[in-house]
Amino acid sequence: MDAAKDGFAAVRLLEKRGYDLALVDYQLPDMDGYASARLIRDLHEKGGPKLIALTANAPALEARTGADEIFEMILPKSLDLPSLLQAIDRSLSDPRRGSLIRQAIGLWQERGHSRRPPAIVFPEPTREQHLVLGVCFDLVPHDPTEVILVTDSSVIPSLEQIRASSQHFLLPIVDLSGCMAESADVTFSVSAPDSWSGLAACIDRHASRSTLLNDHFRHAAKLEDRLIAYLFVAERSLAPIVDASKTSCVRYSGCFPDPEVIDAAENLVSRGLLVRDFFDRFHSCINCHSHRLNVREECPSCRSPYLNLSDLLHHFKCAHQGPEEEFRSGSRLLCPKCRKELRHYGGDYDKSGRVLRCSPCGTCSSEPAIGFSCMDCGTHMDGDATPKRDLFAYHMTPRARQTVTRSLVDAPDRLTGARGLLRPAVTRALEKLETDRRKARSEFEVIEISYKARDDIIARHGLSHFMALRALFIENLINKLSDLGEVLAEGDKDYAVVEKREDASFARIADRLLLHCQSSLAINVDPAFRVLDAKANEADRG
Amino acid sequence: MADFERGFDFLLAQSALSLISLFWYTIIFEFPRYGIAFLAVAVVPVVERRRLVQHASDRSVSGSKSRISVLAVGHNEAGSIERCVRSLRAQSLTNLEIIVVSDGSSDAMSRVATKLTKEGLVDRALATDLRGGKSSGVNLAIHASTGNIIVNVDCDCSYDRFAIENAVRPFDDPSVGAVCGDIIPRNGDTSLIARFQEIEYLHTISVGKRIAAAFGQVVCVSGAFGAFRREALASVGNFDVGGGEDLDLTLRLRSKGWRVEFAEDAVCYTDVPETLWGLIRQRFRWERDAIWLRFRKHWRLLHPGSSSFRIAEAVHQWDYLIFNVAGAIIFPFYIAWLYQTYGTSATTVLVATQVGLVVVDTLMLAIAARVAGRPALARNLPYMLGYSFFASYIMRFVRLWAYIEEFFLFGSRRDNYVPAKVRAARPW
Repeated sequence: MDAAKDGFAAVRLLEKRGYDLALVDYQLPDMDGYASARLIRDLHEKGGPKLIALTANAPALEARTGADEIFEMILPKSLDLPSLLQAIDRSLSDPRRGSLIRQAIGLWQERGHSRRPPAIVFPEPTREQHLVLGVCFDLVPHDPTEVILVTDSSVIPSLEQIRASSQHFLLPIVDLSGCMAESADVTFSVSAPDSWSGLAACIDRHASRSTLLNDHFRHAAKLEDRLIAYLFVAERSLAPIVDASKTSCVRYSGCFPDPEVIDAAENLVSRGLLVRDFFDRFHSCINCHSHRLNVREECPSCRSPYLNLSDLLHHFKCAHQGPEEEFRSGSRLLCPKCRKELRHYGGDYDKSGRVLRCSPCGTCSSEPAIGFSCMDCGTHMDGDATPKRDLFAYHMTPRARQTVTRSLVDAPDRLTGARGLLRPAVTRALEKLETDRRKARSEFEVIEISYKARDDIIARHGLSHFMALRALFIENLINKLSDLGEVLAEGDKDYAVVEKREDASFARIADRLLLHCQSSLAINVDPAFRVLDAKANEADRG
Repeated sequence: MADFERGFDFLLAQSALSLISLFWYTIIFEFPRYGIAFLAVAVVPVVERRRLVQHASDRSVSGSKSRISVLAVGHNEAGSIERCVRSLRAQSLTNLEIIVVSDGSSDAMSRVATKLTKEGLVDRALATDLRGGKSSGVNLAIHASTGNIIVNVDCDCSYDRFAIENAVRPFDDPSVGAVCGDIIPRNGDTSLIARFQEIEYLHTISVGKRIAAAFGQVVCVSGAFGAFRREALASVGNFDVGGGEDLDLTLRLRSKGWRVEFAEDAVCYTDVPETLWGLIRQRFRWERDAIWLRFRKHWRLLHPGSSSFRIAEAVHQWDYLIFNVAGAIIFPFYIAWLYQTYGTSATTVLVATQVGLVVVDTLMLAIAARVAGRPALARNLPYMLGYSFFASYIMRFVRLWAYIEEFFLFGSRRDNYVPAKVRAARPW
């Protein structure tokens, strides 16, 4: 694209190079736009560029002789960029293209859409892609974008960026490449009528369900809020998809940033908005956490995987027994202990079994060790020492649907109310107990139990010892409380949600109770308690 | 009663010279042993003290310098291997390399060994499909081991917490090639026969080997619990074909000039045969193996013209030949001679001999219990009469029969303790 400062310069430029189109201002110094255009037309008898006039005084130009023949179009000033681009498009396009677009609009109309869906494309389309996609989609949208088109799965990181921080995070991602599998919301292929219908339905679903979201979730900033809003709008679960190109060997549907999406999902699980469903267990590298590990049978001594199955030879006469390699001397078998030749199978010797012989170090074993070697950082691990990691699929709970759609004014989220101070699991248990026993009109109080001797026990006996003691303590407490309440372990503290009674508040019997739970433990965990929720509970009821 | 009084009178009527002519068997074949024992009890403490002083200086570092491999080789030991391995893992030395070899077992032994490997209790488990005998199994285990001290254990034994630490201590002396541990029957209460063996082991191993060690005469590092220097084993080509491979190996190590020690505080507990027939079969095997090893394979040790002749080796060979072999062979002739010469008075002589032996045996038991530092006296006192009779009139004839069978019938060639294919190839 070039610009000329006046009519003469324009004529010279047009003579020098071939152009498809010239935008000519009517008001020009020396020679006006009309005269310049005529000159250009005269100089290029056949063909030449198409001319579009720009003027603030359209009627004056239109009055000039032959203006409508010289100019393809006369555009009034002032002019916005999209209209200009559209005009350029129209003027440059094949007349048949217009008819294609009209047909595409017809196809969308059959599926309940009055126009082509406004779309943005990832990555930046080539001219060819722009030309083709421009028929089916409105790529220069004036209206809010409805879909994100993806022509190449390598742009997933940009899509993750959109989900994490862009206002477009609720839009459906349309896979045009055919390689994104479940990561995208829907796939589209021009030649497949079903995919047109599928895309139309998907756009409708996203649009209609977005309107159900309350403002907090529609404009969410936190990743976990964005995630739950998206899952609601897309009506999907957060499902793991096997993908060997990732170090975790798994990516999650919906193109949210990984691994942050797992933390977000786990937070939502603890808030009771998602439930999880076991997907698979992976061994992970102790160094780089990659799941891309090579599992090998190895020599228990030197850890080499270069093991070969070898026959064991037993020389009867001198009782030497060892792998065949040690007896081999060319084609003969010589006993390495007594140097006698072994000739007679069954008479001199026999093959008493087979062993795995390590070629580098020569060690024999019947049972190989199992080792893992990281394909990404090369770290080597023993089979037993390799950490395991479980991955889950996540599904929305009914509570999540309520949470994302509930009007914030009508019913404030309980989590942000007085009970927001409580751990989510405790809140859930409290609500469950309240629901279960609503008829009995019981009231509950939350008791937080901490262990003063915790750090001391961990320092002396290790964390696992403390956890074992704590588990025993909790079991005692559960037995003691019976059906009076529930006990929950959350983080480094435990919580008891107990029924409130007029005759005996927990606080009054707590000392005795905790002492009793402690009495059967080998080491004193030194439990202490604190009543947390009595007031909040009453306030809620009130 | 009259018979008894008459017999008593008969004995009292004898002069000193005629008493010797009456009791010559006991004087020749029994007294020297007890004499040596009494002498040893006087001498041993002095020798022991010298050894203890020598050890005391480096006692603290023992075991930590060496890498120790423990080999448990067995055939169809699925039932006992786990207990054995767990007792080894409960040793005071914790850095043991434990290697288990299942020698052609048809039971679940190799599966149990694999399980123990996965639990980290066993460092290496090997299994053969065909049984090759204990020697070939141990040789395979030695090949798979990395320690510079090799401890050979039996799968059906269990071990005192400090057994291995104490067994490897003598290796601080670089001339020591092998160390024998003390062996105590753990099922002495199950039968009278087992109880007799408890007394016997106390005499022959706990005290006998202590005395033998003082004189450099430990000639058999028991297969149930022995420790070896890898270098020493390599110098003799590890184990040779059994049976009696433990005796054979010790003889060969001694011939190569390695010292063999006894570690009295390295205790192994084992099950001894509980029935008379079980015991007889075991002793048949032991004595037959001793004969073929001592007088067929290693006969040169007796021959003064041989290059391998050494006084120390000739001593134990002659000791065995005179006190065990000749003693057993002559005993029936002695009895026949007695009855032929003295008629019914012979019974008096035998009873008097036995009474004398019970007294000496009891004295020996008291000394042995004191030397071994175990409360064995009160526990075994009631059985001394029976033990003395059992040793003289049953075990002596069992030995006699084993010698005859081996010398003339090559009984050890038919002993299924070693697989037939190996026995057939055995050159002696």
